[in-house]
Amino acid sequence: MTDEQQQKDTQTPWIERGSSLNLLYRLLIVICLGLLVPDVLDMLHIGYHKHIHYGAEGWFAFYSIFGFIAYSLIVGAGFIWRRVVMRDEDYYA
Amino acid sequence: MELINQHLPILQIVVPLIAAPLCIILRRRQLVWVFAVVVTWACLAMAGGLMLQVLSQGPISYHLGGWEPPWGIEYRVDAVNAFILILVSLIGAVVLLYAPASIEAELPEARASLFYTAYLLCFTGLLGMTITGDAFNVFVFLEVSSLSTYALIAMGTDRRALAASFQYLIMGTIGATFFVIGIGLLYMMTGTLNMADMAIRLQPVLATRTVLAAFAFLTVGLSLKLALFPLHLWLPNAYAYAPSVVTSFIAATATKVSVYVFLRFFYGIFGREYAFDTLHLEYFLVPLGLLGVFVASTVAVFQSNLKRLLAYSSIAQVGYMVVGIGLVSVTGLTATLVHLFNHAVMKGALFLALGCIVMRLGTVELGELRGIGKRMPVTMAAFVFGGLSLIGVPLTVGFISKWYLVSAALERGWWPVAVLVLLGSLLAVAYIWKVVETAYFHEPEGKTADATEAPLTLLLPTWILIGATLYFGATATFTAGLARAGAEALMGGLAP
Amino acid sequence: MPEHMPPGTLLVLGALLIPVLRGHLRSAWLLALPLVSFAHLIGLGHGSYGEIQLFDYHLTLARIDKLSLVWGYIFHLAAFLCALYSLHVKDPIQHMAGLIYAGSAIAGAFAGDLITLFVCWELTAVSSVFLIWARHTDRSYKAGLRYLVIQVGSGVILLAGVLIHYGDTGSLAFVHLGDLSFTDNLGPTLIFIAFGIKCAFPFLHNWLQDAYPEATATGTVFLSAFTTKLSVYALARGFAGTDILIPIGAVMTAFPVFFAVIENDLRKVLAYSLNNQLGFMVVGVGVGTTMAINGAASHAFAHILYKALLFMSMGAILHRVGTTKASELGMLYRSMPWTTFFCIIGAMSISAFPLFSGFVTKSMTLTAAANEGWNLTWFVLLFASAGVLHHSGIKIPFYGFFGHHDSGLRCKEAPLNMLLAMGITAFLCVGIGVFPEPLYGILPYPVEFEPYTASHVVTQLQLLVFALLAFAFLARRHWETPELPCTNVDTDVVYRKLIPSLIRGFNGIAGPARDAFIAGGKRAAAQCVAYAHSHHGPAGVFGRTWLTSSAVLVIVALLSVYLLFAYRSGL
Repeated sequence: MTDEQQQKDTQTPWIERGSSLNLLYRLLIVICLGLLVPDVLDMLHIGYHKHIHYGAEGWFAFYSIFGFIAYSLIVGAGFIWRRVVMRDEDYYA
Repeated sequence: MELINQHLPILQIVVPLIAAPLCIILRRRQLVWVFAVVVTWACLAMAGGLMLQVLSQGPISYHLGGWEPPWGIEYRVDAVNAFILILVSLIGAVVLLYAPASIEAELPEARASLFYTAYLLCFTGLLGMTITGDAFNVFVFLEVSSLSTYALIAMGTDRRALAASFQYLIMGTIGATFFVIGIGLLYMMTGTLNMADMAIRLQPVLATRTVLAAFAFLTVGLSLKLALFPLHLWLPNAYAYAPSVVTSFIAATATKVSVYVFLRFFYGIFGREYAFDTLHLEYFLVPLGLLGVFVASTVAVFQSNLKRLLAYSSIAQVGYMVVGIGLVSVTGLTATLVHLFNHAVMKGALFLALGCIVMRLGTVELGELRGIGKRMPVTMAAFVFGGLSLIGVPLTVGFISKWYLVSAALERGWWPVAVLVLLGSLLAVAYIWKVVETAYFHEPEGKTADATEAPLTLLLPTWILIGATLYFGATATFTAGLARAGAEALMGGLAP
Repeated sequence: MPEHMPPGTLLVLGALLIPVLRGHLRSAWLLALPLVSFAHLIGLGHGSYGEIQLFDYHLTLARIDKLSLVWGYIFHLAAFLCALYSLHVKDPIQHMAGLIYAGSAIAGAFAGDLITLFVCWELTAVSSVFLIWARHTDRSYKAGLRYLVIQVGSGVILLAGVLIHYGDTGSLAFVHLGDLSFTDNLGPTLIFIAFGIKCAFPFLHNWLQDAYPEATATGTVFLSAFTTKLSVYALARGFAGTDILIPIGAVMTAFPVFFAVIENDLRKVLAYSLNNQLGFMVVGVGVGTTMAINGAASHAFAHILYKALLFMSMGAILHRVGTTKASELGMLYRSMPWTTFFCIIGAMSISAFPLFSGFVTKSMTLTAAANEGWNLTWFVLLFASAGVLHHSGIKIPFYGFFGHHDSGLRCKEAPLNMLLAMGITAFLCVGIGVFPEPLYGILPYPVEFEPYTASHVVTQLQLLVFALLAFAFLARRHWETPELPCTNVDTDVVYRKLIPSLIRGFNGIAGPARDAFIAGGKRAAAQCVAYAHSHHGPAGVFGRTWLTSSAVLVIVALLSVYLLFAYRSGL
């Protein structure tokens, strides 16, 4: 890191620094992995038991994958939808 | 008290009759006025007493001098004419409150006591026409009221007042003459002058030429007195050039009493079957009434003299009343009777409002009244309310009358008549709007700029009558109830 | 007398005194009114009150039972919090409008008959429009007009439905109204549509996103709490278990997600989010089982709180900075740390994180739907939950207070009354999440739902945290939809663009024809008047004074006519 960047880093608040964001990201990944543990336990039928209505729910990491993909799809769909409905700010003026 | 109650019918006539010449004796104008006011309000109280008696005991029959009818003169009071009595005395009383300030502006000092005399005589005559049950007596009181009216009109300051009075005199006398000829012919065929008796005795001889001739003469004579088109020609000038108080009084009463007499004769003496089923009088009444409405309203739209404008409006309103008569149903007669009251109150108030303007500005030419609404707001507000009532806006008495009239027309299935009545209201909108536009939508200039609001003595009676217009428009149960009772009595058959 | 006053009238009447009070007295009055009204409500037990006979109609002004009480409680609470939030506002009209709005919503929730409901329905519309107009901009004026037309239109349809229903059944009671059919059951169908308009059903929804962001900072908080939830109550009361509500609700949860993703104005994002949450409630009402109704009611309760909290935080930004456009904001957390904190609590609540109010309520609806076998719907709702996390859970706090770059805006923290209101609301959001029992206690049916099962907590966390991961993943690669100033067309394009241009086109063609017609008409009228004047004017034959001799001639002529006629008829 250059001197400038280092100075910037120490002046900007903690939460805005690139280094802290990286840290948070890594922390998030760790939490996610941790959340997969119950599903593993369920597969091995020890301790935790998923209460399911539908077959699909029983798949390994169903909710995790669903959440991740659903979110990504929504963002992707946003791009497409924007092409359809986006207009100028004063479209109705 | 009991004595007075017993003799109320005759007192109703005698009191103003005696009071009239007394006015000449009392020279001082203030004193005369107070005296006249006491007399007229006493008459109002008596009329109220008569109404109460009728409502509780049924029709009153009073024999003059104790002579039994049909040889003696009988005064009959029932629901119909008690109503008219109250109307006439009410108008007479309220308008008289207004009189001193107004005639001070319009009449020379010396004429004051003469004015009150003539006024009380006219008052007597109108009350007499209403209360009596004897046909010739009607004629007598008709002449009393007419002659005093001619005198009253001639007192106007405008030089044309004399000519107008003269024209009215000629036409009015012709009308009265036809009337008495009619009565004479009937007397010839029945041998009696008592209206109830005449009705009974007339039945067997209905098909004779004499009776038919009497019918025609009476129709024309009375139509002239009530100013049915085309016999209305005396009215515009008479109303326009008379003093404001006089116009107000007679506009509110004279034609109404004539309508009442018309009803008495044609429903009460000739009978509904003869007049309408056999002779089809409605073929004249309804078209002439509607013509009156339209021709008169159209003329009113083009008038610039406000008094003449309202005079033509009165002719139109009489047209409505006659249409109601021609519809020959309880609802139709209710419409006519309730309009008698409503129009009296409306027109009385409107002419009083005009009197206020005359007092301050000396003119009622529309061209000279620009912006008057800003200088005389209270007066013009009264005019506007009266105008709304003429148009027939809900919450005013005009609406009540129009409602009954249209209902009656629809009841008989005569849709075109209902439509025409409503179109007539549109014409009223036109001429009222003319006045409103001139009064409110211009800046005051010339005479108007210096005007101030009328004095309280003039405004108060005006607003009493406007108040009645609005009150009886909102709660019409009293007037409509009385009108309906009267209508049912008239439709029910010959005078019992 | 007070016993017979329906709940909510105290608020409406008390609001009328606001203009005469000033300063601290007014503030005290504003805070006291909801509390007093609430005490009044508590004092009344279950039952029907105010049964009166108006003309031929039998009205029940207030009907208090478990279902309406849920709404009664939360509406009072919301009224208090909104009043607290808007204490700093000087304009008395906004205060009056807000309290009358709250009071009429409360009265509407307790209405026992359809006519009373109608009156309250219209009153909420008429009072709330002033909150939109209070912004005093041209945009807000027009938006308010559109809003008013649609809301009053809903009222008119409601009245039509009520009258038809009364004509068919003779009953005005506000009870379950049965099946929908345009041919057989027109009355209740119209009522359903009227409810649907105020509940922002698909294609009838756009007034919500059009009008709410145009209101004032404090006004929108009021608006978010009452109208839509009142309509949910109305649906729950009148149409519980109506199957068609389920696909309607499912669609309602789905489509706003896409609009919210690309929307720039954060308050409009919240308006879409509101629409999405209403969808959950509508599905709950549609499923109709006791658990589903419980779900819808508890969700409404919790939703009023956390949505108000979100709108409050956005309102605080608007108040301090003047804009809530994501493209213009950034790094406001530095200036408004507390607001940021409260906003995040609201975001976590709406996303249904465990330990927050959304978790213990929304899931009831989902479970009820699954229990009844509404499989596709369940998946849609699950998908929508991920969507909620996106626009309300992440986008709102992130773009509201953080963003990718510093916007340079600095300001003061929100005023104390706003912070207090947000704090209390946040506390309640967490409180309900941690101790749901009191809320469960007031629900219409006994609650057999256990929110905090291991399975449920884990699966929900998996859903949310992995979605969060997706956000971080995409953000780091800059694969997000950028925040741009724009307008996104929704169904309002029909009545804001399409119909006006059609009318303009029509005028272009019809205009000259109409002008020619009018000119011709005027000419004809002038000719008629001239003709009338010639005869009826002052100089005309009818208007002038006749010679006496001529008049006498007329009399004689008329007499002759009468005589002839009489002879002919009578003999």
